[in-house]
Amino acid sequence: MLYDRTAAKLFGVALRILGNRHDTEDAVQEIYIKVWQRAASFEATGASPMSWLIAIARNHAIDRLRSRRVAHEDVSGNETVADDAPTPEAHAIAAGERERIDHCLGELPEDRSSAVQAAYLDGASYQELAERFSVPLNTMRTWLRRSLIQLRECLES
Amino acid sequence: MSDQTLPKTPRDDDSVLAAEYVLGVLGAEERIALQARIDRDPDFARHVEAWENHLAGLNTAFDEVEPPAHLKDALERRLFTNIDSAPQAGLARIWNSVRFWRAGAFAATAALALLAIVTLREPPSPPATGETLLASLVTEQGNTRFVVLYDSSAQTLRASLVEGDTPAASDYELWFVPAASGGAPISLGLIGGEGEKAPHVPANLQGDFTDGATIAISLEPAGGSATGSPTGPVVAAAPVKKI
Repeated sequence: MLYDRTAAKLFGVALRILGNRHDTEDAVQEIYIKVWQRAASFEATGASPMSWLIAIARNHAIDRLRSRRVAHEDVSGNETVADDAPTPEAHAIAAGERERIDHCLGELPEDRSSAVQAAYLDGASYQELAERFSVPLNTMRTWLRRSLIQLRECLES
Repeated sequence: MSDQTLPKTPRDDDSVLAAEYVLGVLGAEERIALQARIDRDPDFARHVEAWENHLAGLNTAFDEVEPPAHLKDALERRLFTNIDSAPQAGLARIWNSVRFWRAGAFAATAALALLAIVTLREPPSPPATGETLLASLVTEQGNTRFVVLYDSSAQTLRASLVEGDTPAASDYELWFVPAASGGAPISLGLIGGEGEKAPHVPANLQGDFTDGATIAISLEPAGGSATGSPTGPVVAAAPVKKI
């Protein structure tokens, strides 16, 4: 069944972003309910099924994180900025996608590459990124936007 | 700090905004506003999709973490139990029309495509002794959805309202629609029903309840149809498909 084949990955996504198991358990249930409800929209997208599921999981976890009233007491407790360890479960297709994004991230200055990954993987907001990299908020915005344009050019080439 | 001016074409503005959304760096209000925009602006939705694909390569960095076993049980309870929700005032009109059949069939196809593709990509599963049949049914307005699952080896039928409410003093009743034209629908119980009203496939139907069989849901007075045939409007219908 869908759940058995995908739950460990989606649980891992939500746990990394939310940082605690209690929230993650709630979030993962809500994620699967959304998946059921949105199954009809899947055909319209060109994404792979796993990417589509992870996108739903990330969006849900980030929405939940952003709506927490007490905002992130301890940012430093959650600071796995980049994960260099190769992941054994990576499939061939995913490995190819990973190679491409790694190549393009490698063309960015190292701190900007780290900022992009911290946002995507840990759900860091602009505010948190600015604190983490000790730059003003507006500087972080400019950095990241410019990095995204550069990334897009590399990924689309 | 800004030593270079950012390009200002509309494509870039929307594409970068979509990237910021996908990356997740924006605040709660901005995210809600952009989610609404995704629903009504196909061009923006395409930017979001493009960025989801661009960044999907990072997904290998998320480690798999085995969820606790009770999570699956809790999820099943939420999916396969009729949530006792407050009656909804001013329930939208429910039509009885052929368009429901199309809507229901479409949703079922999509749900199946998803399950099938995910299944195909994954390692083969141990051979099943029976088959599992699934139907996903949605009303024409799209605001009420049902999922029906039948396990032929255990002969268990589960039916659930996954979105929307049951109107006051009413029940949703599940029907088997015989393939032969003119065959009268046969009740399969009530969604959320208990005892003899619980969803079930009668013994004499088990041979016919197979891949492609059509089921329908009607809105009945509380406790279900008293006549043995649907008395209220058929709100959704779809074939069950093997998964």
